[in-house]
Amino acid sequence: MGRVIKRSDVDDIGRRNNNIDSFKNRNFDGKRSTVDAYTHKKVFYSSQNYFTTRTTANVDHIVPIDSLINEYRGVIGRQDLKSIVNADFNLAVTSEALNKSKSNLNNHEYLLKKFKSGNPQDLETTINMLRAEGHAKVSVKMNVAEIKAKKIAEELERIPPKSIKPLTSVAKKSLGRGAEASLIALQVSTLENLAMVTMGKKDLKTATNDIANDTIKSGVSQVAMDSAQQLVINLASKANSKELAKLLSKDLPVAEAAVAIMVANTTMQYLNGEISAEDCAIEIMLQGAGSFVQAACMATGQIALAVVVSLIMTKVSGTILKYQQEQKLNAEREAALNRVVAKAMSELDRQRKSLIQQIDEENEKYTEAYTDGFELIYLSVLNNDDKGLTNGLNCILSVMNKSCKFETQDAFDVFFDNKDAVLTI
Amino acid sequence: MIQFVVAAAVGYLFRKSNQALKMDEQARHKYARAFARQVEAQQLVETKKKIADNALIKLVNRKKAILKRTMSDFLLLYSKIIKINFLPGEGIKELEGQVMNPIQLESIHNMGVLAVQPMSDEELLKNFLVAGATGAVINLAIAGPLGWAIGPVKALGDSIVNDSQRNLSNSNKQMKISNVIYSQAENLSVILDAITERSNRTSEVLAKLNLLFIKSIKHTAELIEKNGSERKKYSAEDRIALKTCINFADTIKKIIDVPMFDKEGLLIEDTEKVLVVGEEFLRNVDTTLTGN
Repeated sequence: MGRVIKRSDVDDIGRRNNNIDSFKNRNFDGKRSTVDAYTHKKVFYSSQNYFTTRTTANVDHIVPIDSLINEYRGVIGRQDLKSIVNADFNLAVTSEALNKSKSNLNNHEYLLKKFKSGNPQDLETTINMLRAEGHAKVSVKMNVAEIKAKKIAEELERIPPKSIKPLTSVAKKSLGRGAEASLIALQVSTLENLAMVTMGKKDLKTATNDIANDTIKSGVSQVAMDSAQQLVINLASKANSKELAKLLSKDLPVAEAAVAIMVANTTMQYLNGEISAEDCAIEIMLQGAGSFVQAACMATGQIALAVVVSLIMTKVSGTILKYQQEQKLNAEREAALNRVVAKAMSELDRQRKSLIQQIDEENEKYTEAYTDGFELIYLSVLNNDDKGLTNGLNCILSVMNKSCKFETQDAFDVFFDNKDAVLTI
Repeated sequence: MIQFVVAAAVGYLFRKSNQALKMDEQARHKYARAFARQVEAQQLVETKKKIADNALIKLVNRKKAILKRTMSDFLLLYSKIIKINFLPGEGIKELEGQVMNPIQLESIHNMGVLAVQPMSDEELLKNFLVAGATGAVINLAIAGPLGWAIGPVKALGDSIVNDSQRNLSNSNKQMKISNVIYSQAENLSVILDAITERSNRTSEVLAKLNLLFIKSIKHTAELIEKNGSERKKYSAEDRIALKTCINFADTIKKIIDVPMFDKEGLLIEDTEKVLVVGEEFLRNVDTTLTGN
């Protein structure tokens, strides 16, 4: 990996142009013309006869070969680099004129050059080129991350101590998820320190020291720490104070965006509602942070980074918003459950009180009737008082709203003297 | 270097796992308490129901015994002098079948247990994306391959903790549900106590009246034996005795004829009300948790 890599080592004209299943042939799909990925105008397969360089198709490396070599030399192997250089996500069909004019520049560098020369590209082409560059750079990073992931898994497997084995399996299982999470997290976090520097709230020394502190706390490697510090230094040192002043005077939610970015480290508290302004912060991230970062990067000439970061910020914001909505839903369900529980408890409590009251009343009524009734009966038996005895029985029956068959002796005598009378009980 | 990274990652995972274990331990304790509360609720109802059932059986047996012996003696004796139409009411009819306690244990057993569902892959991934955002930062594209491993490890650690938080939250929900179940059991216990009280009270009244009734039958049997069906032979005192005995028979019959559980009576209606609250609660819990 340490050997010098030449352009010819990683370029693959067959895959780009010549093979039957080359990117160009697949793009044209047997037809004579296709749409230019940048200008969205018609371009033709061959330059024979009357076609000009503006209408003849070329295949462009969106991220130039030299740029990729410089960035990833020593990071990934030559074969891996070759596959990335000629991957579909890094190729675009465009006109020969544009391709030649762009030469070995990144899309944003080419656009800036045209702008400075007083002959800027039209808006549609500019957007298409920046979008293509953003997509390509994200894809390149994702693929590099995947290659690294495989390597780290292989390296971890080679470590002998038994205690490391579980981690190896953890790392393997986490590859797919980790790549995306780390990529997103990287952009958000480095911006935190970058924002502080560009806002003038932190000097480079403090920012890099803070990264070091954070890094040590996170337990990551010295290599990672150095790289992060270097990234911030590089980006922040390009910031022009006059342009920053202009930026601050615009109607951008700079302060809010800075706050939003700065709270990246407390995202979980945000989402769990531990920070009261979570809705506000999420809103800022969605509407403010992306544009702030883009504006900041544009001002410092990092147009491509602005596009990439904006894309990433949108993705981060979207993910966070969705997560937050789910958390809210859970919280709503929790609150609804609490309401259901409270309602049931309250109803059961009310019923219990009512039951106890009714049962107490019933017990009191029956106890009183039975006690009084038997007292009357026993006394009447002792005193040979038949009226009292009848009253005693009536007292017992009163709880059922009933009375004795014969309440008076006369009533009984009338019944008894009638031979045909029937006693119904 | 790789040893350092691995050690840091292992240490980090260990710390997060430790946090998760503590939360899982809390959740286990809470689940244990919640289930214990449900068991207490079931035991409370079971114990009270056993006492109430015994009181009911005693009352049924007493009613049957009075009808079979004392009331039969009365009817046999008095049919010698008067025409009697004995009409069994609801209370007597229900003795022919099995008197059922309105509270069945199934009502308390039916209270569900909140299912504890682990996070889905999608939830884990979302959690992973957000949870990993703080520590997994300075690793990937600009870092060496060793630094990369920390990101996933950090995110994984946080995801483990979040899964445990969710488990803890579910155990809290279970505890709340168990408290409602216990509260419902308390209400059912109040009703069961009332059934016991009512049954014992009626048994006691019937026993006392039956004793007086037996004496009255015995006394009037001698009069009927002596006077026969010739009404004029019965003195005013004899007639008072006959009237009293018939009144005892009528009173006892009226008490026996009161159904133990009137469909519109206090206990049946209130039992239904308590059970309705429980059923409605479970439906609401289900709707709340599933969102359906």
